Amino acid sequence: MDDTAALPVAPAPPPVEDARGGGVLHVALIGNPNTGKSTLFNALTGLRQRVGNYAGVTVERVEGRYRDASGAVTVIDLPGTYSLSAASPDEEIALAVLLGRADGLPAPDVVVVVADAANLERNLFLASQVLELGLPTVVALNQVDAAEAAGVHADPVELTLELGAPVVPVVATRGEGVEVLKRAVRSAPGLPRPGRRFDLPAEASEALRPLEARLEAAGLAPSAAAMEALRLATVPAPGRHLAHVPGLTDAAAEARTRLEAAGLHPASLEAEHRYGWIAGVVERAVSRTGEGRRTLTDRVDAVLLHRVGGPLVFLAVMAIVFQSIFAWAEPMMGGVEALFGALGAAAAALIPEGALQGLVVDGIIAGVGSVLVFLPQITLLFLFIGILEDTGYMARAAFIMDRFMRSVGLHGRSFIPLLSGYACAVPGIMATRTIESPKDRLATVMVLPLMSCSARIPIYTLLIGTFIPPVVVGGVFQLQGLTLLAMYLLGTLTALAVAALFKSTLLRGRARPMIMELPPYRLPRLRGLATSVGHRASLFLKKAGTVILALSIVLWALASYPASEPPAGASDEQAQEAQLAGSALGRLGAGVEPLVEPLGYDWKIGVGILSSFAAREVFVSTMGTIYGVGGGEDEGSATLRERLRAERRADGSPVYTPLVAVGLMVFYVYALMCMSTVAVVVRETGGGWTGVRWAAFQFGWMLALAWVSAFAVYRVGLLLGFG
Amino acid sequence: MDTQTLVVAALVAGAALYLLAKWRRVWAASRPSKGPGCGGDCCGR
Repeated sequence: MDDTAALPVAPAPPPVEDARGGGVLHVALIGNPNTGKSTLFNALTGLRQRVGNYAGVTVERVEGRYRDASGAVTVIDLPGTYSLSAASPDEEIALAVLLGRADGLPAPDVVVVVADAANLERNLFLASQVLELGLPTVVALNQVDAAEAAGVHADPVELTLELGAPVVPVVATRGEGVEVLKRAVRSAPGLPRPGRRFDLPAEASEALRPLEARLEAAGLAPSAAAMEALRLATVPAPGRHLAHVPGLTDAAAEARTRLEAAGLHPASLEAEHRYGWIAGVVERAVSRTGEGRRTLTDRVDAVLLHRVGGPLVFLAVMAIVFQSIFAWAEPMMGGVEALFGALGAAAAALIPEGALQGLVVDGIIAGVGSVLVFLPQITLLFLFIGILEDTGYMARAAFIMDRFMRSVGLHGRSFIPLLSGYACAVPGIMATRTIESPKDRLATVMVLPLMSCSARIPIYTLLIGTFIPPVVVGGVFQLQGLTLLAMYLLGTLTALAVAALFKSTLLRGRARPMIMELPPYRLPRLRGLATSVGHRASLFLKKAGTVILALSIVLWALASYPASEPPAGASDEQAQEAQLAGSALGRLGAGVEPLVEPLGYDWKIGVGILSSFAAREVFVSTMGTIYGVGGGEDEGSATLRERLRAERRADGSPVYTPLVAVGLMVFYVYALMCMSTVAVVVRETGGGWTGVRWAAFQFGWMLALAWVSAFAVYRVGLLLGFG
Repeated sequence: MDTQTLVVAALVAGAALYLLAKWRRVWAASRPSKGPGCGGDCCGR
């Protein structure tokens, strides 16, 4: 693409002296979901941000900076939104920022609207609302290469004339047009302000005039007041950014009555006139060739989105992913285990025998090491997820899942937060802000921690790798991979079932459809993949090096003190066991044991479960520390897996059997063992006592479900002879 | 008290203090955020 051809961009003016001082230009980036907005933000600012292929990835406030020849520019990446209707928290935030009503944020000097060149009809709805706010605006026409490939040619000059604001074609993924866009941004404050490009019927203008006057009196610019008045005719509540305008709800109701009296439909007034104008713009500025051509993407989608074939392909893909995690990670895992074994031996040789040696070898190396051996699995899982996202398959998975979600009464938009929950429940719960209905949002928050997050992987893979035999099932699949898939499915299906229960009782409301774009298939971008996998791996390492390390030290102390004298004539192993049982941790375990004994667990597992409230992986590090302290000298070099297999009760029977392992995994599928998730649920369900009550309710029902299910698995398993 | 025990006591105390500080931060995060336009009251209330 030629960056400089036919672009209506004036030469850069001298630096704009900002009213807030410092000559910094404040830019807000807004656009529909999946228009490449986040990619353009990265291209502009060079900041690393997660770039996904499915809609709605941007929820949090994200800011970046760049410098051009005239000075510094700050860019705020607003949440992806289809309109400024302020119906969801995300849309309301976007509108509040643009109107300068957001806490701690100045009104932007320039707005950049990112529009997908291939889908201008839909993208121009938001663009036209932004233009009406009367702020200096630049439209970044993104993905022009993909549009051209699909036979859609949007003329930037014609569009500039139609919109009354500069339109710059860009390909954000390759950085094409970005420099021109920066120049256009710098020039925008010097250009005439944009405004409404279509006329309303005289009766509509008349009916909305008092509302506009009220908004103008409250300090809104005339163009912004006109845009808000038209919006208020269609929405039931004005939104908090207009809370300072007195009597607005009554004025809006009055305007609606007048519109109805004039024979107009307030609910469809805005959409009718905006889309009418957009149809004309697209007809004049966009030409299409080869319409109706069946692309490769269409042909692949015919299979992957098939009503029956689609879900089957999805399950097969996931089974292959989970199987590969076991098959490929095993050699690397063995390597990490050997590394920590050697490290422990070296530390034991270097540090003289005593408390410090015990802490370093049995506490730190055994505890942190037992979690770090799962780094290969975590890395592989996120590599697969990244590939599925980048190729465009994850958006298809969302499409397939949407049907199931609607059948249980959940909003289609719940899928993206639920999908995020597979990585970590915390960002998933924050992503529920894109859901408009408070009841849908609450139902999603309540079931989201049932999606198996990456913190459960160390537990699942430790137990599956140790107790589930690697036998082949059906000639293709391995039992280990299938067991892991079963845990993910159990969590997901239970989430849907519980959501259905909530939606039909406590949080009753109708399901709403979701508009979703399916991006064309493409090859994964290696750099993006490496960044996202590296980011996930570094988060895991950071957690191991902070919370897990600190907890391992504290748990080691609790397992080692008070020191007790070994019984006379006791073997080394018996002496270690007696020490462990008499320690503070052992006494705590004795208190917990009656609660977990019906599930087939001993006190050590009980303590592991208790400590894992800090973070689920801590279960594994706790086991590492307990067996590090409790292991005799002859077991010094044994891995945690070997120690678990060798663990015996007083009667000589094994503590861990495949049945106990499956029951324990089911417990972790359901139990909300994560302090950070509880904290974020408190905040996102309203904070204060309201939030505490919702979080306590969620923690309680999930723990009850976990206990009852683990009990049922163990007892039914025993009855069936799996003990 | 020998040197090893002293070092161990310091490490355990440091780890416990770190965890306390971490839990305080987590609890502080449970208060409604002040995101753009949020003002602490648009997040689910």
